Amino acid sequence: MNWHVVWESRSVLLGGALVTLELSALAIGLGTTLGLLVALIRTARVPVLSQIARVYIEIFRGSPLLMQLFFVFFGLPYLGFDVSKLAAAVWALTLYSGAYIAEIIRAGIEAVPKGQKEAAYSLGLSPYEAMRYVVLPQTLTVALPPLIGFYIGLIKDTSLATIIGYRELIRESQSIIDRTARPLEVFTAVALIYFVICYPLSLLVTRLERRVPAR
Amino acid sequence: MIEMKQVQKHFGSLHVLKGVDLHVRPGEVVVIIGPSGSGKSTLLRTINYLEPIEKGEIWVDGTPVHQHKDLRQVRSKVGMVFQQFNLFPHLNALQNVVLAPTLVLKKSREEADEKGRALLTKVGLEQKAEAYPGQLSGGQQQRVAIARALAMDPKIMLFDEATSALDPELVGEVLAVMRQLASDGMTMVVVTHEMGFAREAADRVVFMDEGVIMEEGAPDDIFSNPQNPRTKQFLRRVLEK
Amino acid sequence: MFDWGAPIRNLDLLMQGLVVTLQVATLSFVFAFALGLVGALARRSHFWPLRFVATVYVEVIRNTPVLLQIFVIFFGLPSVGIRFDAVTAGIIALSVNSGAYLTEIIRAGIQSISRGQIEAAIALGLTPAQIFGRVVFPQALRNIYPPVVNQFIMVLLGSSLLSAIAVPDLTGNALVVNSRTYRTVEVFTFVTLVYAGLTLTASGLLNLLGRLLFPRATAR
Ligand SMILES: Nc1ncnc2c1ncn2[C@@H]1O[C@H](COP(=O)(O)OP(=O)(O)O)[C@@H](O)[C@H]1O
Ligand SMILES: [Mg+2]
Repeated sequence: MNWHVVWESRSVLLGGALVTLELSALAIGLGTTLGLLVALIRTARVPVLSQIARVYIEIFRGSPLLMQLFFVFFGLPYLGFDVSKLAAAVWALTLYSGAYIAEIIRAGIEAVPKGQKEAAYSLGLSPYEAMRYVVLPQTLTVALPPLIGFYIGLIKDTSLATIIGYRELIRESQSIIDRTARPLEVFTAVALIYFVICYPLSLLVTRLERRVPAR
Repeated sequence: MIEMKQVQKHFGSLHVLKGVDLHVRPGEVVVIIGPSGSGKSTLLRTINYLEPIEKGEIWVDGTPVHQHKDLRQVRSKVGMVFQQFNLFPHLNALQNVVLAPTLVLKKSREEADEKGRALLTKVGLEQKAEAYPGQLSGGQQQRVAIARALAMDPKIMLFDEATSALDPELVGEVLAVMRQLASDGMTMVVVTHEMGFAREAADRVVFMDEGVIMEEGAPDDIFSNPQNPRTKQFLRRVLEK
Repeated sequence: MFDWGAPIRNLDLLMQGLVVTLQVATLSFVFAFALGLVGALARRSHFWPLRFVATVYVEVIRNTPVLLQIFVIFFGLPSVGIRFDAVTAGIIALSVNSGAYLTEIIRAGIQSISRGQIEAAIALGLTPAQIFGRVVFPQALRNIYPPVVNQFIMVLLGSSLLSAIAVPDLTGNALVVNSRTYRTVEVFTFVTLVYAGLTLTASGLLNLLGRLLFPRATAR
């Protein structure tokens, strides 16, 4: 084992880690927004839109993220739209995570007893107010553990961007390996970086799961 | 049949059994009564060594259980019925009954089935052989559990508050099966709060409190003329209800 | 402007890929389940080194990307003289990855069985192996069946990553067809729908199997 090469490449690795974090933050933010929107459309049973939402969820949860990434990265230029590698990665991760997050949030909304909404209406709250101030806050306690669990998955899934050549952590590590021919040492360092990012979140999930009473 | 000598047991710093002596003769029906938390269940569970003991001796049908010898063999000779039934929910009534005879006694499927159906008939459930525990009432489940224990041809049956988890109207059907067993001559140790059962079916009643046997004797003596003030107090409280 | 015949004309290649996908996913899942069973037992062992190893395995795998795990096995291990072909490396990586998740799923299933169930089996004189095999595991499997099915779907979808080490699975062959025909949208739309149909069919069939294996309202 030659850990020297890892130490020498530390700035490249940390730069890659930063890019991975940026990509993760974008995907989490946009994916959650999209997911919330889709979940609300589905629970409110908005005609047409809610059927479209269902098909969207089935397709994006039913096919591999990599396929979706190829679709965006190779398909959009084919249709005449220019996409950068970053934009392709963000788009694919957003569409993919939106489908999963929609289902997580919907399950959370459905876990709130119906009496809660009825009580809010009987107090004179509008449907928007009932959702915003009564149902969604309770949804959060149920949905937060699986949601953070999914975020962990999403952070790891940003690694797929390396396959379309985006210079995130794994791509950077491969260029180091090309120079140094020390794959195991470099990959170990990369694994460690992912672990340092993800493990605290995993611990958080475990703690939240213990706190939320099972219904 | 059962011989317990100076049995001691702690749960952490809690001294649950403080030197218990108990002797049960073949065919005898011993009913243990006492306030909750007094160590009745623990005592019962030491007999088939579900609870290990720290000091003392337990002999079951000549086997020194406290020496961890032939534990499985002893257990297959000692049937146990739990408060929560503990039927196996993935198996139907008959499968519950024949599981141990086929696995432990290596009986053939046909032999075990035949005996299993006979036992279900005995407890009044011949119609329910194919029903799963989730489809049975509490009283029916407990009767299947009794049949399951009997399928091992036990020499001793232990009952730990077998009717406590049942709705009041279902208690009678389980007690009836237990009475039948008692009159068939089965050796039984029964922990219960059913004083009526203790009075009629017991050969001997044992009153336990704070990890010791305070008083024991024939049911008539214990119920009509208790000697120990604790026994008097306990009986006054339970019989008032 | 679109030529939807492009994927159809290359159906044989795509179907070959589909077969590879199904084979790789099924094999990986079987190994992963075995690993998960061993892992779950190890995590419940009274022998702490075993518990420790199993915990490290689970946490390391679950907190690093599967793509990295694939690369370690395919590109990393040869540097210490351990070489696998792409398909083998892929199956190993997917098994090890999914095994960590199944360890936790199976462990939770075993934990969900009440102490009373085990005591009833002990009181009947069953051996520890009989208690696990006949009482604990069948009930645990019933309780965890939905997440186990979900794991299979995850393996099925995750197998597409093996195209990154040139495994000729459905995704890999889709790339080949794409570069042959330049009909990107048509080919990828078709393949995406094949995947979606596949996962819907697989989960439908497996749920049906579940209803056959664990019949009736047998829960209490
Ligand atoms: N597994 C256990 N761990 C710790 N304490 C226990 C355990 N089982 C029983 N105890 C305690 O031991 C005492 C006697 O319990 P038990 O034998 O169940 O009493 P009883 O059956 O007479 O109500 C109680 O105080 C109970 O809380
Ligand atoms: Mg008790």
